[in-house]
Amino acid sequence: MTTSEEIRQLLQECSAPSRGFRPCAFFDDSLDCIRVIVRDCSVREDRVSERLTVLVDHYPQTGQKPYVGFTIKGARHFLADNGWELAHSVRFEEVVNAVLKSFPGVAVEWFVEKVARPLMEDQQIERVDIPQRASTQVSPAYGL
Amino acid sequence: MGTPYNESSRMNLGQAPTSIKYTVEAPSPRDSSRVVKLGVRIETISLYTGREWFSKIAQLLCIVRHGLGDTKHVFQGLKRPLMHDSDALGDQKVFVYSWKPRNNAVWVGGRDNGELMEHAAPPGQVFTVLVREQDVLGVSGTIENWAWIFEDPSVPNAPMECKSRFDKSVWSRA
Repeated sequence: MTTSEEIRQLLQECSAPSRGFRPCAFFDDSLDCIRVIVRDCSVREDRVSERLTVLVDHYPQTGQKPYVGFTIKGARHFLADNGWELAHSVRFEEVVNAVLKSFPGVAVEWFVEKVARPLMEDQQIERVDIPQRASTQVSPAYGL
Repeated sequence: MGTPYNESSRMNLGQAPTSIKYTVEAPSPRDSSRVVKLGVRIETISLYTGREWFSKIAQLLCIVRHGLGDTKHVFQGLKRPLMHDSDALGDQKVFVYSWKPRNNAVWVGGRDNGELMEHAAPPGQVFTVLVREQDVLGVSGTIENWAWIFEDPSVPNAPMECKSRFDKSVWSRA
């Protein structure tokens, strides 16, 4: 069996009926972070700070923006600091505003204005759900 | 655009405990001369298959499983808040493996009609794998994430700012 066939078999085995990739935000329970990704692609992770990472598409097509996502690390602390609890849904705009407030600095301002807000607006990301044990869920964290 | 990737499997499939989907042989996070078994949890696979971020799966099967043996550096501690199973110091149990693979892998297309594509590794970047050390389910640790990161210009084969972003360097080898 080729690797390609092996991957396809795994995808068939693990996925519910395919709906195609959709931009999503999800909580990675094991690494305690919120991940946002808007394109199924290979990415480079660029560190903005110890709490923020930007995802950059390795092979954007003509007209596509290279920034395709980001990660907010230490999500439980971040959520608690901002008065949110696990198992709640949070407006994405509030999350972005809280990032700016929680981690002030030029790099984070750049991150919010050049990466997070454009992604949120272009992809119409509205909410992020923070389930108690998010990693056990396989459905997208929120719909678009 | 790359070419279809076609290599035979070296990963041990279907013989691991139920919540471990795959096992991979890799150098121990604490001792480069010792080979241990690392696991990939079903939940980790589902995190990406459930959202149809299939390029992550392609990299897992093409780069992680074939490449961990080529690891040049292991670092410990992410130096950031990481709560894991009520452990507020969860970041200290995470080890970061890094090396420079020859190739990158991307899944192009959807689940049913997609295809694995191989590219030359992106220049000036290293591949990193995050492993949580835990002696459970017959493995010495679990693979939690994997990613390309810019290479540190002063430390070949290591991630950018490796001297400040991790708690410590555990081992390195040529």
